[in-house]
Amino acid sequence: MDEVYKAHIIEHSMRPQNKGVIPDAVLCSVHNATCGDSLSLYILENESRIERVSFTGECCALATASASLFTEFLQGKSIAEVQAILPKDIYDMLGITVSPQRAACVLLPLSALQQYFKLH
Amino acid sequence: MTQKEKRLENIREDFVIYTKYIQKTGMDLVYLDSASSSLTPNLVVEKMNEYYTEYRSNIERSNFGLSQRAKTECDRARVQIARLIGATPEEIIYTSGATDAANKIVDMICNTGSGKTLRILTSILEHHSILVTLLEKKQQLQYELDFFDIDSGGDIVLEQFKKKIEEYKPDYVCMQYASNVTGAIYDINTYADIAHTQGAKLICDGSQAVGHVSVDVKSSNIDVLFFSGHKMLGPTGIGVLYIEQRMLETLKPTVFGGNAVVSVSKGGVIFQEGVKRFEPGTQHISGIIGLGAAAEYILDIGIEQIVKHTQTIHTYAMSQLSSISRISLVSAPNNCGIISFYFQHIHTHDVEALLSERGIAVRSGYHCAERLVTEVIGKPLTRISIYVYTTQRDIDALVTELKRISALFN
Repeated sequence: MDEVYKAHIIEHSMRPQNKGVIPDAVLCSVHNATCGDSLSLYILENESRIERVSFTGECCALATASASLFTEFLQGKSIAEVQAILPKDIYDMLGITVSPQRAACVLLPLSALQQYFKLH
Repeated sequence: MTQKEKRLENIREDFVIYTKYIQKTGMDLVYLDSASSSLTPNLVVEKMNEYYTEYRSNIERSNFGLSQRAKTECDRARVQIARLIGATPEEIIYTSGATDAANKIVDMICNTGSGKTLRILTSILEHHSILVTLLEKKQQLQYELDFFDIDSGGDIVLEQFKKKIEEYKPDYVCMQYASNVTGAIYDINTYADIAHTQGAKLICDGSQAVGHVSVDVKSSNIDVLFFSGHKMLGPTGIGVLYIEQRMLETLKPTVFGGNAVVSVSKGGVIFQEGVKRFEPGTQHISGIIGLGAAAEYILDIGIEQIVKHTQTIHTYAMSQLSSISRISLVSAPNNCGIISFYFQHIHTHDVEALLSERGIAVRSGYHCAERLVTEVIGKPLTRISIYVYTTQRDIDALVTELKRISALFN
């Protein structure tokens, strides 16, 4: 397995983008059963686009970096575009390959987004 | 240097996994996760393999030579396991592990048919194997459950413990011999005496203690002791439930099947005497033989040598780990070889994953003691555990990596 903790992963985990609460946004929280971490996505949708998105949660570096990069990617995207996102896209976004045990960490923000589509 | 000390110095020759790991990965194996599951000596694997390749058969069902040999080996194993904890072979019941044993003993004490509502006392120090069992079976088996307090450092305050026993008057007290989180070895003899004074029996989780520290159920007055084989150099899938002879005679089986009975009629069943009635079905024969070999191996090295070695490495590890910036250590002074720690600025799973990339095996998270970790420590932990094969070089490798990891997140 390639090294997972690359410089940009550590940078995003220590200084994540879009971390915080968006008032009036829809909140979707997910839990990683393997480690107990929780992550919440705040999604503000407008005219079938993601107008703003942010996250909160005390997670491992991989989940935090994933949420940081993922929320950067989501801003302004159409709902049709984000509905088509697959796990592979997240790995490409992060530029790393992870073990099956850590896949749940990396895919935690995507799980929150999927929950948003299930509920709304 | 004595023969036993010499043996311990060359102990890695007994664990082929070290050679195989470096051949496969190019890295040294730094195995610091024995509290989760220990490595297995070649001798134990060979003994189990011998059963499969030389005398594979069932036991107690045939006069065939292979079966006789298997029976002899299983009997020998029971003697060795009993010796390891100061019990008699007639007090050893095989289980699939500590969790299975914990479930069984709770069922057994509630199945006496006395009609009395039992009172059980325990604490949040306990591993989930017994804690979850006690919480989940409470409604079904209709017993009362209460908890004795621990202080803010996770220690038992003797006077409070005593007071709680006097007030609550439990029938059973469940507590561990040694902690899988802090490594604390409890003065089990004292707690057993306090429990007995008030008429309670002591059920003790020996998972982190047996094979690591000197355990003698008789001199410590332990009524029930359970432990897993895989944390003490034995195979997975086999464990032990020790029940003191007089108590054992009062209990009824809760798991049923063949080989545990004398006769069966439409009107009922006559069970075997002794431990046999608690071991229905075909037992995990290779596991029993492996566990017996592990017990013999430990007895051969000498538990006092193991304790001495563990203490030396523990002291060294504490001094080395203390030199790392922003690390917080959680480890009791009287210790069975466990040091837990956390960094304020790094998630415990990242620490584990980064160590793992360098061939260093540790465990991270709540360690099946969520209440203790959450309520007392307040943060998930990374844990290292020391055993016979752990060296100062392992600790040096760990400390070098932890310093690198700490700097990485600065």
